[in-house]
Amino acid sequence: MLDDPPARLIEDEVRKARGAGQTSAFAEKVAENALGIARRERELGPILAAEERARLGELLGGEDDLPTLNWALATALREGTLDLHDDAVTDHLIRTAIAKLQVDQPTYPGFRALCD
Amino acid sequence: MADTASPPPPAALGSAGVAPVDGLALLQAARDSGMAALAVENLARLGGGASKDMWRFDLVLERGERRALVLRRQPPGRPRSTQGLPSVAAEAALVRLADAAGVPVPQVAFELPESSPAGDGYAMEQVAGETVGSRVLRLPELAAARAGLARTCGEVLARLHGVKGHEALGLRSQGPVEALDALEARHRQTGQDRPVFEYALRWLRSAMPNEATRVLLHGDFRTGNLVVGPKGLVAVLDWELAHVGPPEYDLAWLCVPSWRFQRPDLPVGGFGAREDLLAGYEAAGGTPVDPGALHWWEVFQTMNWGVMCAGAAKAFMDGARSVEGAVIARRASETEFDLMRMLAADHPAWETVHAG
Repeated sequence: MLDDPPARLIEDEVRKARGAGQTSAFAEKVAENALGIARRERELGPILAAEERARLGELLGGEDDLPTLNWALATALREGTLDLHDDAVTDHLIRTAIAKLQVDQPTYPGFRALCD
Repeated sequence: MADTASPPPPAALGSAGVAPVDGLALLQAARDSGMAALAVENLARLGGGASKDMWRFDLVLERGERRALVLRRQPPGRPRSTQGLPSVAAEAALVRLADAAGVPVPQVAFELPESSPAGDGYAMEQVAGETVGSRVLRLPELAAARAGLARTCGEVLARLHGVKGHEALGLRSQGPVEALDALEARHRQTGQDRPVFEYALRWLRSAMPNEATRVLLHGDFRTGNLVVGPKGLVAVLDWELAHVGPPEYDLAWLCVPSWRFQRPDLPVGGFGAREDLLAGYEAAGGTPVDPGALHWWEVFQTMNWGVMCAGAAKAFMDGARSVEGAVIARRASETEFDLMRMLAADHPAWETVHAG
């Protein structure tokens, strides 16, 4: 599940900052970076969420929505009802971590190193 | 902090959102500390974080002598964060202790007295060098400095960790159990469901290291807080998170993947190898470090940075909105990625990166 703040709030904040006459080169670089996250979230978010939802449905069972299933996974890991060494759990966590980074920071050097 | 490679922004005296420094109060504090100061000139803001700001100024002394100084302070009336030292001025006492132990620091010039109109803080000498992490790792003129930096960091941390007489500072003390409880509590306070953090917490609980010793820690020893010049490490900055705990806390924080910038292949701050860090540490008198304990603390510290990012998300959603806050919030995912790399590097699911 993608983290807060969602694309809409990121875009609002950039609009406000630019409207307030923010001009420094550093601030503009950060704004571009933020808009990139929002853009990728709009492009990739729905398909990645559907894939995550499908994996969780298989892992935990049930027809709940993604936030509910994600909560159930976090709770099961916290309470120890899922095994840390369960291959399917680890598989899901890795796939989800990769999916999130594709939206948030596809240029993260540790991620790029793995892709090459 | 002085950054010769990128000049600081022009003076922002009295500009929106920044409380100006009372120059006369600053001058008075210099005189009260015994300096024959005649004037404060060229006072200009250097930037700073959410709670503290930094100002450079020239202190004009008798016979036309001038000293280039930097004021690190919290504006008057601003509440202190609960994590660190009791006051910014108290940081000066710590920096003097570190200085006496041979840790490179900006020398303290004078402290602001309690309830000074100039705020809570202290003045230090200006140091020349680079702090911005990505530039420390990239600038060609720092290549020689980078080559020896991991070993130097080990030596410097050993000297710091050997400091005696810090008890009077009243710093908080935390072993691995208390530190992990505090980390989990901070994660719970974000209210976010994060399966990877739960996975990491379970792993951390199942692999607790033995606690051998507690020492004086810098608390934020990483690329970005290290001033580096062509000859090597010039100074260690930002002592506000200093506390007492296991030596691996500092050693592992420097190895968190997020400060490796464009060099993920160099685990120590993006500039060196763990072997060099630990060799320097032991050569300078540091207690030999168990690699398993170091790994435990690297996992801990990676999640620690992740919880800080998650905290930025909560702050944003609670109404403290900024573009920078949003970007930091969305860096929590890099720590989830790194945690899974650390805890399940051999899993076949990583192959999907190539397939995708």
